[in-house]
Amino acid sequence: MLAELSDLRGVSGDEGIVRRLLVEKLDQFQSKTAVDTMGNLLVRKGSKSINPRIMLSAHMDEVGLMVMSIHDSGLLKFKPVGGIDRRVLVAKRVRIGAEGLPGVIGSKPVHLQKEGEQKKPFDEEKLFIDAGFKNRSEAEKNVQIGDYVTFDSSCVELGDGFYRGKAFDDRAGCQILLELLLENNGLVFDAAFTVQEEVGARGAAVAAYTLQPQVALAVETTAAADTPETEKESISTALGAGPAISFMDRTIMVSRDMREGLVEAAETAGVPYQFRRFTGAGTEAGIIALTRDGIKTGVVAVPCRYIHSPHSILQEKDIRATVNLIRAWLERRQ
Amino acid sequence: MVTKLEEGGFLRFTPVGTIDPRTLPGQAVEIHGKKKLRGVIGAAPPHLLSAKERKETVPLDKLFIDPGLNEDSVKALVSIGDYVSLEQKPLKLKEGNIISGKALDNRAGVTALVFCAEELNALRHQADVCFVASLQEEVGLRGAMTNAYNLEPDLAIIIDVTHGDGPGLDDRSVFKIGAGPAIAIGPNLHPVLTRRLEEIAKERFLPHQKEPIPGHSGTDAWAFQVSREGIPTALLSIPLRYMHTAVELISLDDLLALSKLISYFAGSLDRLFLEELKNC
Repeated sequence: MLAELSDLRGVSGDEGIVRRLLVEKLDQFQSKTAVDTMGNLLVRKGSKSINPRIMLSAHMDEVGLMVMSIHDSGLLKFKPVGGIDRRVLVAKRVRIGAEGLPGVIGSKPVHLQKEGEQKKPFDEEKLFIDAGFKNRSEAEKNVQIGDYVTFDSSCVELGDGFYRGKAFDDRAGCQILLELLLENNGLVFDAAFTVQEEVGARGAAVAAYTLQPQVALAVETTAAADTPETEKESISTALGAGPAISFMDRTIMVSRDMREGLVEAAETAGVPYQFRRFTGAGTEAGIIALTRDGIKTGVVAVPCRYIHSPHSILQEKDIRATVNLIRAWLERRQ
Repeated sequence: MVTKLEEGGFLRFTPVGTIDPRTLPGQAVEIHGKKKLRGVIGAAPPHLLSAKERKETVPLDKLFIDPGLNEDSVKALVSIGDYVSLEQKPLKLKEGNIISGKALDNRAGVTALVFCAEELNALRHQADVCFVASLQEEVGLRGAMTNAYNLEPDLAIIIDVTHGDGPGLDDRSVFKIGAGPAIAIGPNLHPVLTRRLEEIAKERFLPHQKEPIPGHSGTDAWAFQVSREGIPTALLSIPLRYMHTAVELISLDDLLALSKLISYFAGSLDRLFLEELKNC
């Protein structure tokens, strides 16, 4: 399921294909499903009325690129959609447009470089996509300006429960919401599968307004840096240590009772958890918290290495632990 | 090649042949350990990077491979000295006859040899033709040295790749994709042999380009030319973009034209030509 979700190509503003798969999987919720004008998918689980109302959110979009112009030579110029370090784009394969035409982001061959050239990364404006078109007119037959571009990689299991894939951020969150919706747990909550998180949490703002919860939990995928070249104090989160609970990020100060509620739920359920030891970068929790007259909001995230690159790595058991934590948290609140 | 097993199950490595370290972060790899493992060369997420870090290249000795396994599994399966290759399946692009993949330098050349051997089955030829898929070219033409000595051919044609065109490249050393194989000219190559290849390309209406090389060709031709008492050597190359990366790109039309050119050339060979080779 994670592989299926992660392999779908849904860059911010182009999440339709992800939403359609989710709608299909959530067929049994047909009468309790709505899609708003931005493309958020809103699903209500349980008919009991509870107080306070709870919303879980996970974003459907992934980072990618957009075709900005077509060069006379048939090469395509692009810009990133969402935060991508241009250095991971060099020498990678991509898929272009709705049909997923293959292309590559090439670079000057090492043999033709001057001494010292490798010390500086390639300039973003000098990178281009080569889809093998021989000139502009051939390119224009196949590609349009504004086409979305994704990394070209498929999810694989590496062993020991580790998975490698392109869009775990935040299809892992989508999967967690999906599981909590589909399992027979008797819980009552609203799920928002949101759009455009990577370009500024645009979808979540509208979803939270519509659903009007009193409490919300953003279910995210967060950077893990439990890798070489990172000092132990700066690893943010580690794989295999369970869901990461946030104190704050660039967008939100999580209230103490939200945070403690999550910790208590984890401890009661015997689920491993960790705190996110990093306070930068944003989530949609920030905009949700500021919706209407304010919504109490927390963040729980699956740790994942190399997010926003063609190949991120996560561990299945962290997804399992996140599902268990959120279930326990919901149970304690109703 | 794996040089060190790090705590946590990560691997350090050293390049075999020339690789631009800037092409590696975020690259999928295959580790040829006790069994084949997949992994990725780690790239710090943008969220955790400082503005200064983004402006710097991560040097090879700071890069690492993440096999995505528990440390114990890595220790059991991977040893220092294990080879690592780029992981990328070849793929045909939408238009033209273009393919992209890793190692087209020089599996494209090997493929041309296979096609040529098939074509020669249907052609009458007097000369014996040996096909050599040589090794260790990327670390210094070593396979070519012993092969040239061992086979002692009357003449040799080396098949390799050359740089394809692209923006910002010096147009003295790049060649158009799809415009035919490049016939090399210069001190490394035998002028009479080279001229004959050009004539045959013209007679047979095979597209081709000329590649002037002022010195070392960087190919097996350099080793063949000076083997034993000297071997008349020519070099034919398929233009290839983004050399030594996982996204190398060639036109299959160039590959096919190249193999046809060698077949027709082999078919045209006779004793007389071997005499002509001495007139240079």
